[in-house]
Amino acid sequence: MAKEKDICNETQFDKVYSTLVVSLRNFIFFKCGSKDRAHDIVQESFIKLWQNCGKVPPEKAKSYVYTVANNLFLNEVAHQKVVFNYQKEVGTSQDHQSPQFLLEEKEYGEKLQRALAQLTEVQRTAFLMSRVEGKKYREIADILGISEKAAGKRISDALETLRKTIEKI
Amino acid sequence: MNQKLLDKWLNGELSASEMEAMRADPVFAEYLKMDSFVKRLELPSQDISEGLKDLKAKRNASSQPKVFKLSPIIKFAAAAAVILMMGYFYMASLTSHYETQVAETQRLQLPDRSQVILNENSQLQFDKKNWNENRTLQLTGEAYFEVAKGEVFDVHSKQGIVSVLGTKFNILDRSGTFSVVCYEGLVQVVRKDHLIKLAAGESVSFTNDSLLTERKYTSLPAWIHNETSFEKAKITWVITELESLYDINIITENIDVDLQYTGSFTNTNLEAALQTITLSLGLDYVIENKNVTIFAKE
Repeated sequence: MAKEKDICNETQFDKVYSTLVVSLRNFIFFKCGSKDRAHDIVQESFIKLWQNCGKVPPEKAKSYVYTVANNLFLNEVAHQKVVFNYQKEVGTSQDHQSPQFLLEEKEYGEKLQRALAQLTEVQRTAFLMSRVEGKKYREIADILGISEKAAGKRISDALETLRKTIEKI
Repeated sequence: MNQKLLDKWLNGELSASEMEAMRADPVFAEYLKMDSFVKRLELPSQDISEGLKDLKAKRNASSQPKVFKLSPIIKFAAAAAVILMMGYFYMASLTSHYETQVAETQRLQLPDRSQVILNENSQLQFDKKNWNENRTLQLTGEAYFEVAKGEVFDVHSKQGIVSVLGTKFNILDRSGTFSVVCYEGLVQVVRKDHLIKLAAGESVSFTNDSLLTERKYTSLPAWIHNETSFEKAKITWVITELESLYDINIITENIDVDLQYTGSFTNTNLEAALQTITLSLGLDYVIENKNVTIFAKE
């Protein structure tokens, strides 16, 4: 039996953690919009993985932590407000930006934030995984446990809904 | 909107000419705008190593001992990790009890063929009969361990718990000081919010809450050669060790309490030991049966 590859082996566990943590943290973050909640849920998930290291083969580790994290997310208070924030840096590469332009940018950004929060959680997650993380349909479908076509549809629907929402705001 | 082209764009597979064609569509132009804004979202920290450190601290604080006890049959490779935890653990049935007196050392073997050398004035207890179900030892004082390859057990001392996986190390647990020296393999020490990794030849010591990490260039602790060595140790600590080793009472006069001593002295000859210490610190001494007075030279 390949006990060396066992996740109970500290080196193996570290490797698994390093490979999956950033993606998983982003995933939960996209769902709830809170960095702290995402961090706590993800740490908790890996602790559970460690506690069950003998029962989880390495190839199942990814689906295990994603499932645990998703369950932890669902178990928490369901109606917490979802709010996203933009990076603090405002300066872009262009030098000549009129105050008017900057103001319009700021307003657009706020509209987009609100529209994002109004998306359904499944649409928002798929959309952000695609646009922010640059994940392709195949990987998104694999993580969400749906078909590539279904993943594509969620993202397209998100685009459409966002556009319409921003127009209305 | 051509769905196929949209899919291509979303998957990053759009050619330049296709992109130009799409741009003409005002709806797509809107999508491009949203895309550029959304890419500026503040994501959670992308850090991995801090998270891993934090995870291990949390993990060890919860139910670590339970995990190890549940799987005593798991064997690990030679380069292993040692984890130190804060906590006190009570052992159910003690059948083997070893105790050394002042100035006495004892070598013993554990049921898994690991070797232990117990330093003077120390105690070690473990469950010999139920070793497979209960691999915990209780230690007060100081001991040096050479763990048989692939063996797993926990050493509980008042100031911490060391989980062992096949390595060579020394634990010192005396009042006010807790130190671990790694002689072979890899050691990980967790205490409160400190996480330190020690490779062979490195050590960490905690004096109350302050931390000191050093390199040790010896292959065995000095006391095994009947010597006691110190590195920048407080004079009060040196005196306590002397008293314990030689079963004497030391009185100090006019000594600066912040004095630090670096060096070794023998455990087998009181005069020689006193000379070594006092000479290097500019002190002098007087012996009267079991009482020694150490004072500053005028």
